[in-house]
Amino acid sequence: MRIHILIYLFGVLFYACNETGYVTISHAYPPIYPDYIDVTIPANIAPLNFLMRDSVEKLLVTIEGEKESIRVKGKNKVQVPLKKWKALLASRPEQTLTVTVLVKKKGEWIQYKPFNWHVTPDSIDPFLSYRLIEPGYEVWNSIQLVERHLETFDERVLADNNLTGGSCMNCHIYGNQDAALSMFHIRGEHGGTIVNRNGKLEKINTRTKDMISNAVYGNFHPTGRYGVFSTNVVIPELHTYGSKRLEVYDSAADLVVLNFDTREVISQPFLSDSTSYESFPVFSACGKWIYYCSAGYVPLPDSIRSLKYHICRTSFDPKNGTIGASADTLWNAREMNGSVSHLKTSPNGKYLLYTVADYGTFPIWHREADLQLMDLETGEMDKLEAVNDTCSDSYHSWSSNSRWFVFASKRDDGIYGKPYFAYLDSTGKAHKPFALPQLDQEYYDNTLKSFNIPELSKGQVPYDARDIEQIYWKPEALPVRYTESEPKLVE
Amino acid sequence: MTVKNDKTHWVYGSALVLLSFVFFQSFYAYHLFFKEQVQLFLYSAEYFLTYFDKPGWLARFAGDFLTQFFYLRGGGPAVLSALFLIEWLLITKILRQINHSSTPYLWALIPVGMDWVLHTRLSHPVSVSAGTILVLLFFLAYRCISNHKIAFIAGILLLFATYWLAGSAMYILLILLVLPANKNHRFPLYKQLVLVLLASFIPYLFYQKYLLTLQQAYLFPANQPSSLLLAASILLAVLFDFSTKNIQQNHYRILRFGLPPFILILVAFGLKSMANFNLEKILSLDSETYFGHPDQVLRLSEKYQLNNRYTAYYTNLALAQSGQLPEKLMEVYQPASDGLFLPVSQHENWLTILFSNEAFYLVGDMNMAQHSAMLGMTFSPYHRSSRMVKRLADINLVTGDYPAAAKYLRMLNKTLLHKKWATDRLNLIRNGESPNWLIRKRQQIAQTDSLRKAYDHLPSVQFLVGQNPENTIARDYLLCHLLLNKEIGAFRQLYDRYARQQNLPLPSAYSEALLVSLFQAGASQDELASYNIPSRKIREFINYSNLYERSGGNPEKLVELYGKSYWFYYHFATKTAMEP
Repeated sequence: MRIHILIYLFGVLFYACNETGYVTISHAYPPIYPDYIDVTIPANIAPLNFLMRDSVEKLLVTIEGEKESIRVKGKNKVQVPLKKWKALLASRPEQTLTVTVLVKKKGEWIQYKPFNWHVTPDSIDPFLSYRLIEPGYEVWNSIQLVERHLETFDERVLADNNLTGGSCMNCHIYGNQDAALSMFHIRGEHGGTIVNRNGKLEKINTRTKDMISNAVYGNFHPTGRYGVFSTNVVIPELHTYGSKRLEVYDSAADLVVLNFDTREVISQPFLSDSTSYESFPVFSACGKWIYYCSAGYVPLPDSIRSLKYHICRTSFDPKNGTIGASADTLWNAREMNGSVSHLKTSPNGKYLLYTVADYGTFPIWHREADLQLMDLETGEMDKLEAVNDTCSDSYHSWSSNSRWFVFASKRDDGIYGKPYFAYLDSTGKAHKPFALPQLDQEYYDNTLKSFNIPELSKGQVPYDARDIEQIYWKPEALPVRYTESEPKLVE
Repeated sequence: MTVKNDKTHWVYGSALVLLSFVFFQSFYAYHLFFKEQVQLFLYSAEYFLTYFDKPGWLARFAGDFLTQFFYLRGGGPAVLSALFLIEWLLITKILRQINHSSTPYLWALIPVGMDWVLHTRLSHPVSVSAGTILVLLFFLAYRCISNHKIAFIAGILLLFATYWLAGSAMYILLILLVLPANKNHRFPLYKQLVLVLLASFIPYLFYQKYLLTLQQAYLFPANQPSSLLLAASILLAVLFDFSTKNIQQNHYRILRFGLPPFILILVAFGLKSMANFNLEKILSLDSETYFGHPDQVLRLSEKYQLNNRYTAYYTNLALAQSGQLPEKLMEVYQPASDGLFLPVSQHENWLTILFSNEAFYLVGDMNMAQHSAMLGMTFSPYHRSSRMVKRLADINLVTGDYPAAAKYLRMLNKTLLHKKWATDRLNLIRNGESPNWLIRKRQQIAQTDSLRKAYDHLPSVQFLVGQNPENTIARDYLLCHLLLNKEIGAFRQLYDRYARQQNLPLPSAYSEALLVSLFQAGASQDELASYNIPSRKIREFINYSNLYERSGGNPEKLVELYGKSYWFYYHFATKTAMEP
């Protein structure tokens, strides 16, 4: 009798443990969102929560590391506990996690083909800032600059235009991925360029009467003393063809360098004449070069498809703050039959990352816009096929170790941009990117905001939305003085 | 009958609530439809958590939950009436408890009447009423505390909790806590002062956390200071109930029969000053367009006889949908071409921007419709709109951008009342089906690309017609645009290019405009004959010209016979400043 009872109890226990009963094995990957199938992730990223795109009744996910594993249940989405996730990643700095997804669908259990998450010990800078804005693409209403801690799901608002009279805010960029060196522009009556240097905020009016506009696209010099900017007269126009949306082009665009210490703006005649359009300037990692995009004049908008931007380079002397008198072309738009925008040099000085579209200077709404990587030592170019998708991939930024970059991709729906992170290994090979994890991945389905200009940083910026509110309403922005640089070749 | 055994008091509240139902159902239904259209309530835990970003989360959640039922015919009036009834019952109960007066149910009519009046404004959200009800319930629960010390501490805590849960409805709690009428819990003056100071300070304490301006922090979830009149009306009700206690005993019948009509007169006065019946008419045209009832739009437009660009806009839309635009163009008020397309820019009010996508969608300019719908949603008060999300889904279905359409449809799939609509369309995507409406819309869209500015309506619609001259709606919009701007030469040129070959019956406005053009050009009889203009129309033109000559160009002599002809418009219509 006792034996019978024991057998019975064992049977009940076995059945209870094996709650899934019969399981159908599927040879397909699970239809999860976001697409986290076989991606490479840094050891310091937050859990990659996901949801099932098809309707399921139950979801069981096992994440198996080399030493530990996690089992998570859900209805149609999983939220991996942060502590367990961190312990799993900490158990081994470099490992492959195997993710097995088991779902109950119409009463039947299905196990999908397992997939991997390759964990690399090369960590990513732990903070990400971005602009959240409705992709209304010509006018704005509510805008926030947000800082997200990538190791958790914590978010902090750095600036909110609800507090600054509804004025437009451009994206937040760092110097050397250092949170103590950053800037962004606020437009509007009390606007200016907000520069954060070691937590001290300054509002600078970057426009003088000699310039065609305020500073627009910019980048810090590695010393933090200078900023290089394009000044652009921006014209937005709408396409007539349905799936294309907005085209933005410049009717004039120049390039200037601003000395933040002396608030002096310098340029060169060849960078400020009307025969060409200059845009997206950046300093090299060594600070001795300025890379920028340049296109020859074409009548616009009629010849918009002929508007193709090269990658050019001119020298810069940080000691005297002077720009070289001539430029080299590194990427010839005619030969490559494309147009370049958004240059970003890697912090180690080895790479130049940029976006290539068929034409123009506003790749956000160009489906064909893809990222490309240039090895500045060899001149080799990589089309980053593992990274790019059929929708626009642009607005990228490097991690300080040059092993990761983040970019805004519209790959999910063609309209709403989201940050994706891609790994570049020691051989220079790029890996499949993954979307910014959210505590509840339904967020991406429910939001009507687009992520703009995601930028990585090593730390938390030393201000918040209230500091920006205060400086915005201060009456005067600090003026700058314009001088044209003496033509001088810098070796 | 004594005061105590008078069981008829519920009649007063019920009557006012019933009247409010009749008002909203019969005279103000479209404001309520529209309130639903400019919100998007999702059944999603992730979405629910977003309510915690701002104060008054429970009131806002409850308000938005209830507003979704405004989509149904009768839903809005039913929800508001129910809210008013609950408000009345709760206020009556509270007044009875704190003052033991004999006519609390009469004074409770004041806040109900005020809320009714306030709900005539688009800016007054249901969350304010929901917050009020929450606070009244909290107060009733609070009344159970008999110990004065605990009551004071609980009052302090409740003020914080109320701001968190119901936002600015906290002021109602403050009123009820400190008023002298509150006999059982009358605090000494210094404690009352503490409560007043605290309530004044709470929004200030949290405005930074909630990323609000100070004004927003003191109003939230209300959008306008006028919504605070509800709290003020509760204060009045309490004060009146308290200060007239003796009168209530001695002149019960006078109060009982005199006060309700007086309150009704006040409500009527409030409705007259706060309700916008012109906007209601415009919203009726807008909503009937959204519901797909062009015949109803034409019927209402004829009934209203409103001369503004919005009425012209919706009338033209309805006429174009039924193919009557060029035939009846001159029979309705036309503010030049401003009644064909509404401008989309940050200089316009959000309603205009939100309305503007309809014409672009109708003519087949999908990119402009998308631009306009996105901006309409962005500029609407809550930056989310079920109506605009539906429009965006349809636009992307038409252009074949299925991932984008699916994004919007997935959102709508999480709603209660748009779920079926979304599921049907998601099935279209899954099954690769193209129903007739989709095929028809796809035939309208441009197949090649060009650039234009957002305000370049004429080149945009001309491009569409150039792409597909069979797009008769776009063609009528193009030709009527030129006619309304008196560009007769361009009209004839484009008519010749796109419409002359069609051998269709010549609509009235076109034949009249062609006669003007042919006359100006000194066209031959053969040329005139080649347009197949009805001989009756030619005779009318001759008669008009003769009368014009004889009267020396006096419009008064012409208006009776020819006031609705294009000739009259061409001669006498002038463009004045745009109506608001």
